[in-house]
Amino acid sequence: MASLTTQQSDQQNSTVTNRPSIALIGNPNAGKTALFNALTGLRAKTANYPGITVDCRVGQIRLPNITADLLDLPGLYSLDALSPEEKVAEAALRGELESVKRPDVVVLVVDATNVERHLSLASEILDLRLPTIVALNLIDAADSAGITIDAEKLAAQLKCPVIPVSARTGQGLEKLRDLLDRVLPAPLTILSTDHVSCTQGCAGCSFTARFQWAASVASDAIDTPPQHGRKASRLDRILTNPWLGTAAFLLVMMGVFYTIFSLAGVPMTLIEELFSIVSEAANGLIDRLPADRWLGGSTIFGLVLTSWSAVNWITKSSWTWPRISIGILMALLIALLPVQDFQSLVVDGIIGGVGGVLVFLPQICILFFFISLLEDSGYMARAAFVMERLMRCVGLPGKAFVPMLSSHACAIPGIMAARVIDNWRDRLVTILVLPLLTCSARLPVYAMVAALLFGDSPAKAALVFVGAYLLGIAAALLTAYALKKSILPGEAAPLVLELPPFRMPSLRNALGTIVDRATVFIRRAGTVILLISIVLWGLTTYPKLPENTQPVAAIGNRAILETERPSEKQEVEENATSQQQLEYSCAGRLGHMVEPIFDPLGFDWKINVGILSSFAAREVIVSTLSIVYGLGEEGAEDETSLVQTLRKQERADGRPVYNTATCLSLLVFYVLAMQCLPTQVVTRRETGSWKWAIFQLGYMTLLAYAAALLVYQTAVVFGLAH
Amino acid sequence: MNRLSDNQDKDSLPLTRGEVGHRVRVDRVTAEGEDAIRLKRMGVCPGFALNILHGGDPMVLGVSGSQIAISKQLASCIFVRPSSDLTPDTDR
Repeated sequence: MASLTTQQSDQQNSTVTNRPSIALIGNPNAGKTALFNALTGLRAKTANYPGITVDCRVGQIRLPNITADLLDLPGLYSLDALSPEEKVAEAALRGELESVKRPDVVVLVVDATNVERHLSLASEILDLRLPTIVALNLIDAADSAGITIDAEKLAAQLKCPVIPVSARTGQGLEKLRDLLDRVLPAPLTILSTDHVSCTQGCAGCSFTARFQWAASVASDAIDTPPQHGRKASRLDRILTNPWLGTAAFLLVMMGVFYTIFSLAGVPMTLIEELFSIVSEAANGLIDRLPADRWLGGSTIFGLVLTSWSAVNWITKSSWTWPRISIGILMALLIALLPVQDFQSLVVDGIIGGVGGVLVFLPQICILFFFISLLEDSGYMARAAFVMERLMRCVGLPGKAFVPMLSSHACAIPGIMAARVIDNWRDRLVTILVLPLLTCSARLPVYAMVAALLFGDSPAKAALVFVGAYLLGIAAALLTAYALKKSILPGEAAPLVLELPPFRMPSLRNALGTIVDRATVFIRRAGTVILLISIVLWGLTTYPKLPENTQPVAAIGNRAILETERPSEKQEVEENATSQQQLEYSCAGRLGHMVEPIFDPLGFDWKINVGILSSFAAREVIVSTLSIVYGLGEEGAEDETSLVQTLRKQERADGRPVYNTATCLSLLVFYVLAMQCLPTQVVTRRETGSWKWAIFQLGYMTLLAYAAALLVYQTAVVFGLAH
Repeated sequence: MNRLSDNQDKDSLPLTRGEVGHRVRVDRVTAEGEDAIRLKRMGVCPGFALNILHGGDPMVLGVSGSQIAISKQLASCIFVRPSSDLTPDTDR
C-alpha cells in the first residue's frame, strides 16, 4: 500500500513529544473534528508522520495540572480498516505506528443522537483494553430530538466514564477536561468488558454480535422516541431524487464556483501586487549593497544563510549535517555570483517563484472552506449519491465528483480532496486524471490562443473555451476508464454510504480546514517549487550573452528602434537584449535542440522555449513568448500587442507561424499536458511516491503530444496551415 | 449454504425486490471480502431490521438509526424476510 511507503528524511521530529497523548476516535459524522477544535482552539497543526501519507491533526490541550497532545485520528466505522485513513487510525490505536506513541487515553466520540450505531465501534475500541473515556457528543441535538440518555447507566454498562458534551455549545467540555486532568497522570484502570464473549459463536458474524450488544446496551440506557430515524426527511427526498437532486446539485456547484471565481480574484491580485512591491523593495535593497566585492559578498552570504535557516524553521525540517552543509554551500555559491545576477536570482527566481505558488492559495482556501461547509451540513453525501450513477459509467465512485469539480479551479485542492474516496485504487485513478481538467492557470493560454484564432469574434472565441473545457473533461473520463481497464483494473467499489443527518455547518471547522490545507500546501509544495524555480531561472539566464552584443529588435519593433524618442528606444533595446539573452541561454538552445521533436506539431523553436519554460507552471508560456518576441516581460500584460506581434511572425517559407493549425495544436497540447510542478509535488505527497507523479507526467505528456500531432496533421490536410 | 438458510429460502428475497416503505429483516449477506465488511459494519448484518426508505439505484435504507445508501449491485447480495415488528430491536 502506497500509504505505508517510506518517505524521505525531512520529517518533523516535533510531533513526537514526551507529553502524554490523548487520541480522539469515533465514527465519521460523530462531530469528532468539532470536539477537537473546541478542546484545542485553532492552535492545532497537521502532523505528517514518517511513513504515512495521511495527515492527523495534533493540538495541545492545556489542563490545569498537565499539558497533553490531542490527536485527531481519522474517523472509522470499525477496526477492519479499509481506507488508508482508517488503516492509520487503527494502527495508531494498536500502537503499530513507529513514529506515533500509543495513546495514553482514548476519547471515544459517540453521536448522542444515534448511540446504538456508534456503540458497535465502542465495543471494538473497548476490546483494545486502552484507558477509554466516552464523550457523548451532540448532546444538545439529542435533547431537542427528545432522546433521553442515562449517562450513568451507560457508564455502568460500558465500564468506562461517559461524559455528555456538545462541541457546539460547550456543554460538558469542562467536565471532560477535568476528567482528563485527573486520569492522565495515573491512567484509568482498564476494566474487563463482558461483551467479549458475545463476539464468538453468534452465527460467525462478529458484526451481528457487536450490534446486538450495542442494541441491548442502548435499549437499557436510552429512551428514543419511536419514530426516530425511520423516515427520510422531505429535504432528503428532494436531494436524492434523480432529477430534482441533480438540479439541486448543479445549482449548489454553480454557486460554489461562481463564488470562488468572483472572490478569489481580489486576493490573487493582492498577492501579485504584494510580490511586485516586494521585488521592487528587493531591487532597491540590493542596489544599496556594499560595492566592495568582499563586503558585498559576505553580506549576501549572511543573508542567504539567514533566510535558508528561516525556511528550514518554518517548514520544521530537521537540522541534519547534510542539510546544513547544503545550506552553507548554497550560500557560498550565491555569494560568489555577480551582483546583477544575484539581483535577478532574488527578484525573478525566488520572489517570482514563491509568488507563483502563493497565487494559488486564495482558490485553495475558498474551495476548502466550501467543501468543509458542505461536508459538515451533510449535503456532500447527498451529492455523492446523485453523482453515483454518472461516475460509475467510467468506473469511478460517486464521491470522485468533489475532486473533479475542485480541479476546475485548481488541480492541487482537487488532488487533496481525493481523500474523500475510501477505496485506494479508485482514489489513485482519480488523482491521476485530475490534472486533465481545465484549471484556472490554463485560462491565460486559452485566452491567447482564442485571440489568435478569432480575435474579431467573441462568440467564436467563446467556442474555443467551451471546446477546451469539454476536451479536458472527456480526456479525464476516458483516461479514468482506460486506467480502470488496464493498469489499475477493477470496478469502482460499490456504494455504501451513510447519509448523515442535516446539521448546521460550523464556521470554526471550516476555518480549521482552511488553515490545515493551506499549511500542508505551503509546507510540502513550497520548498520543491522554490528549488525548481531557481533551476529554471538558471536555465533561462546562463550562459550569459557576451558583453558586446548589439541589440537587434524583434520584427514589428524595428520601426520604433529607428525613431528618435529616447525612452521608447531604450525600452525596445532592453527588450531586444532579453530576447537575445533568452535565445543564447540553455533554455533557448534546448528550444532549438528539440525542434525535430516538436516540428510535426507545427511548433517553432520559440514556442519550444515557451513550452520548456512553462514546465513548472503552464501560464508562464505567455510571458516567455512575450520575451522571446522582444516585447519584454511586461508585454504579456498587454494582450493585444502580444497577439498582434504573434500574428506577424513568419516561417522561413513565408507562412505565418501562428496559423490555424499551429494554434489548434498548441491549444490541444496545453489542455492535455501536465506543465504544472506544484500539482506533481502534491500528487507525490498524496500517493506517497514519485512513481505515480512521474507516471502522471509521462502519460499526460505523451497524450498531449499525440493529440497535438493528430490535430496539426489533420488540420494541414484540411489546408489550415496557411 | 447451511441448513438454516435453506429453510428460510422460501420466503427470503433479495433486498432489490423489497418494497419502499416496508420493514424487513436481514437473513444473510452474500457479498464477499471488503464489500461484506462495508455492509456489515454499517449494521446490515443477519438478524437486523432494515427500513427501505427509497428504491432505485442506489437505494436508501434506514439501519439502526441512520440512513445508508447502497448500490443496487450490493442490495442484490442482501437476502431479507418481511418483518412486522416495530421495535428497532433484533430477535434475540
